[in-house]
Amino acid sequence: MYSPELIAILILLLVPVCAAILLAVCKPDIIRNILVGISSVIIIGTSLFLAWNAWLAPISVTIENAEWISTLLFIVELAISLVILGLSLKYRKVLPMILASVQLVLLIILEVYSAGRTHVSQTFVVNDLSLVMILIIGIIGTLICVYALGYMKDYHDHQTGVPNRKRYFFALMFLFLSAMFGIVLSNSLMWILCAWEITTLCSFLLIGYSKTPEAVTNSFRAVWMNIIGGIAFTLALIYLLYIPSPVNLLSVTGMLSYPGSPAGLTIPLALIALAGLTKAAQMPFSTWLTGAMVAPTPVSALLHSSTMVKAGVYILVLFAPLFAHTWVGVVLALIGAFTFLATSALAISQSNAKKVLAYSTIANLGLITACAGIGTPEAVTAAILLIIFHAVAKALLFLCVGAVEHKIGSKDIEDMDGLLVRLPLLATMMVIGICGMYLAPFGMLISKWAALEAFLTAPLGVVFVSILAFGSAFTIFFWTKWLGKLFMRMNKPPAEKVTLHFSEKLPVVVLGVLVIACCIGFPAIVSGVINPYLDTHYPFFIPGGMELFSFDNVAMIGLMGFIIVLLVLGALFGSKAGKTLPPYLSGCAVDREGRFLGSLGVYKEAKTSNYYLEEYCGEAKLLKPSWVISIILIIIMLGIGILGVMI
Amino acid sequence: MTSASKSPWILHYNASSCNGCDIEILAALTPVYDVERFGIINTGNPAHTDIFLVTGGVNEQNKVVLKNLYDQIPEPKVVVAVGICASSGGVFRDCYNISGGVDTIIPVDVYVPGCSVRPEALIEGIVKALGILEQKRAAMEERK
Amino acid sequence: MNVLLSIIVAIAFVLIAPLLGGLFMGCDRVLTARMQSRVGPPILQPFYDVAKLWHKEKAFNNPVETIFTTAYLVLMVLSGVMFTTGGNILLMVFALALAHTFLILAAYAANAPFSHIGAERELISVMITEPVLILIAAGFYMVSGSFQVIDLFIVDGSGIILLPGIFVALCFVILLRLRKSPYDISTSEHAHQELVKGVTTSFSGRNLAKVEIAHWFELVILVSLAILFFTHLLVFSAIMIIVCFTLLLIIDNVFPRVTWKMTMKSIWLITLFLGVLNLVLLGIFGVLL
Repeated sequence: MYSPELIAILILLLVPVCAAILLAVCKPDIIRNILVGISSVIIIGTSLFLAWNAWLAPISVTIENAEWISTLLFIVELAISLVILGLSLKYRKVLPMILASVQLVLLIILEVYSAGRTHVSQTFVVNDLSLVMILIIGIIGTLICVYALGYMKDYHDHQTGVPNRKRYFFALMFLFLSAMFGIVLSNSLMWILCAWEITTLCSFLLIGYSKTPEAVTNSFRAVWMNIIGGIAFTLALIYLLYIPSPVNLLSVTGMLSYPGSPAGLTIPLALIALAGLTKAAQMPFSTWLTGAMVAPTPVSALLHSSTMVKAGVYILVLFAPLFAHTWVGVVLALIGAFTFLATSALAISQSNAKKVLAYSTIANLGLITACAGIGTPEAVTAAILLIIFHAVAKALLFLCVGAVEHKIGSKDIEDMDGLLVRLPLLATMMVIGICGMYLAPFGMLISKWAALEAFLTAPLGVVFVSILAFGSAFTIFFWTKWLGKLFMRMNKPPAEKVTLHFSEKLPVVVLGVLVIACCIGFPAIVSGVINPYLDTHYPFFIPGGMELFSFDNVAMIGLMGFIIVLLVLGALFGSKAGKTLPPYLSGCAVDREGRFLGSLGVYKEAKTSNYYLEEYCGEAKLLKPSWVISIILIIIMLGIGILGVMI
Repeated sequence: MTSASKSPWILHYNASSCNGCDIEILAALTPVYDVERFGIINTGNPAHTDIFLVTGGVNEQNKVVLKNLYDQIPEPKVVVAVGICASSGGVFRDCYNISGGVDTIIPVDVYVPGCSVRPEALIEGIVKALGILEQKRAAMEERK
Repeated sequence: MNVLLSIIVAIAFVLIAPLLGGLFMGCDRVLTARMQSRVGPPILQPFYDVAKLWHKEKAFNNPVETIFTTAYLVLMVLSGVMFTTGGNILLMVFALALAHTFLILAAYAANAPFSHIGAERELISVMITEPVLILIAAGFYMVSGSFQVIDLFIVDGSGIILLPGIFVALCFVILLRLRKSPYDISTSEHAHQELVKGVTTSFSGRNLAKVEIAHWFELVILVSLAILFFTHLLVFSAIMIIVCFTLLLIIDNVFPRVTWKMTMKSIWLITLFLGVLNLVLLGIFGVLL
């Protein structure tokens, strides 16, 4: 009786929930491995099927008994607020407690006022943008869950003080996948809000997984910042109820087809923008994401880089057509661009690999936010490309750092010298990931170019271009110095033989291949996915208007890629004949490892570390001013929202 | 004359010299003598070096350093012992901690005696070294 | 531009650019010597140096140096070819950054203190250069509505009239990229100084020769970038090039090396106050012109 598309959607929403329940119950490792494996295969298969169908023609389906589901979801929302409230009481955290209570009250108000008015004609809508997100969640998300199988084993071998709660961990990971599918599939904003809150809860519980004092503090910081977003979202929905409109404004399609002037929608848009900013950890909310790095690495990879934080920017990109030509959008873009600049600089001062990845994640989300705020078709093209490339490359990098941490016992970049010799596979994948993040001809650089082109035609374009120019300079600095460490010759004896779990090796290799595949396939992504999406949302959109996608330039990028391939082949098969010299240490080195012989017969290793520019880029120096600037910008954004100013 | 002798880059090492010869070496690099006319550049780095100038009689402490520097110079290379101490140990020859000349540690191609050596003698020595450099390079090409 | 012409221009660039670059370096050394009342080396000295290095024994700190320095040279050439065939200026900037990344990686690979410091400093100079190059691309886009170099020749008027601030920033970047005093932070222009040639310390023989040739190419690319500001004033541009060249030599001989902090501050202040301001004014008044 149901169409295959609806069945696929229901599978995506329900299979992870069922898997979560089963994982919460079953204790033996072997059953868990089988369960995770089977549900991953189902999720990947279904998301591919759904994406294929959505690509052929955008899907919009209706489900019966939507009211029942709405009520059920309302109960879930209440339960989430109560759980957060309860935990804040238990740990005596005042701020989260107050915010959770406010949220609870607002939810009840929303439910009371919206009773009987929330009928949405299309329950689920899958367009080309949600298709991209489905593939990211379906493929990258499940791969990370598979990776977690091997990772958590090592994690508990290393962190002996942490109680083993693997059942809880995997249940939350799968519950989270379901919530993410909920955000990208639902058309009703009420349902999106519920899924939004579930992701907040999952993130909160997973950050606090190890229950160390640091983890608890950071998890509460994450939760209160995210509740601010939740409150803003709820307020936006309450406000939308009061706007007279012939279409139902409580749905994504309804908002996008609002017949009146967008000036009437600026208040809810500003509030939704605030919600998106908190979820995407933009300044001044960035500290929750950097704090979230205490969680086990699969959590960082899944929630805090490739999917959950993407939900924040996904909402912004979704409403980008409304942001275009409003000053709310421009200020939102300024916040994003400013975040890009500030966090790229902050990343320079970090030597902890996960912290660097966290800051770079925030920076890229900032760039996506900037593109979404500008909201022109060119900017949205850049934003979607950034979402895709960033998700793949960053997930790969997190997984590599996690595995490397267990093999060399450190996640400090300074300890990764000569990794290409010590852990060839992981280091190769890491190199691919890092190149994917900033080097020509890889993906992120292509997206940055698209962003640059979009900025040039935007209002205040020069400001955005200058910010992008300086921000990318910082990006080059921190990625290159990391890359350099990996290529260093070894001054230490190699670590003893280490083996990588199959469940770790598989996702890492698949993601590495995906990074390259995305780069090769970017013209196809643009013409096959992004252009049809823009076509439906922008009436005056002309495909192929961007210079980047002209044949000459794509051919040149291809040529550059070809040269890189030749060089890699040269490195692998070229002649290595020649004399290897010891490093030059003014002639004082006594052995090939480059050690000094001290005057008392003591050997000293000559060690130099990277530059961190603490004086300019340190957290102590930059964080506070950035907070001030970004808070002022947010206040301006809300003020403009209330005034309803148009360009 | 090939490019080898048109661009000899030198490395200067003081193996416990009294600094007399070193001052003369530096004097030869001043505008008055202007050895850059012959393409000579004073590098501080064995990896870039063609001609290795050593002064002093080599004591126990810097034997290792001298050997290391020599090993780090890529072929073809020429060693010039500058001054009488570097050539034979000079007046320090019998000291308890002196090896007695550079050639006790590494092979030497040109000896430039003098205490201290004069810039003219030094330049003459380097020109001799250039000839040897040519021969060595020709030998290297042949071996290929 | 049709494909055949592009190929001919590309081949011509690959053949002529190193000659021009090497000759420039030779002139530089002779004139510097004259300023110090010396005779100086023959004008072809840079070519003798490279030929000598090419025939030295193959030696390295880390075997990957060979491929990385090759990559540096190849990408530098590619970047130049993109530029001279009227291609995309942004793509050229990215290729240039990629080329330098390979040089930096080669220096890192040695894992030796001097070359590590050199690599970090080189990285800083790449970081300092990047915004200026992107702003140049953005400025050209605002003038001609395209990133293609070829389109700049179609526009009426010259870049220098609309983009004087950007041009000044570019001049400083050229000084930095040529590793000249006061900005020779990454290599120490004179070999026997404390950095022992920094970023190139670990290279010898052929690898060093490749770096040297790539440097000639870079010089030609940067100078042609400067000429691009004078598209309709070719005679004037020739005069400007000579004036700039002389100024560069004087600055090189007069100033001591500054620290990397000073380098960053001075060049970025110029970029911000002249480059960005230039673009902002162009954005505001561009509509009127």
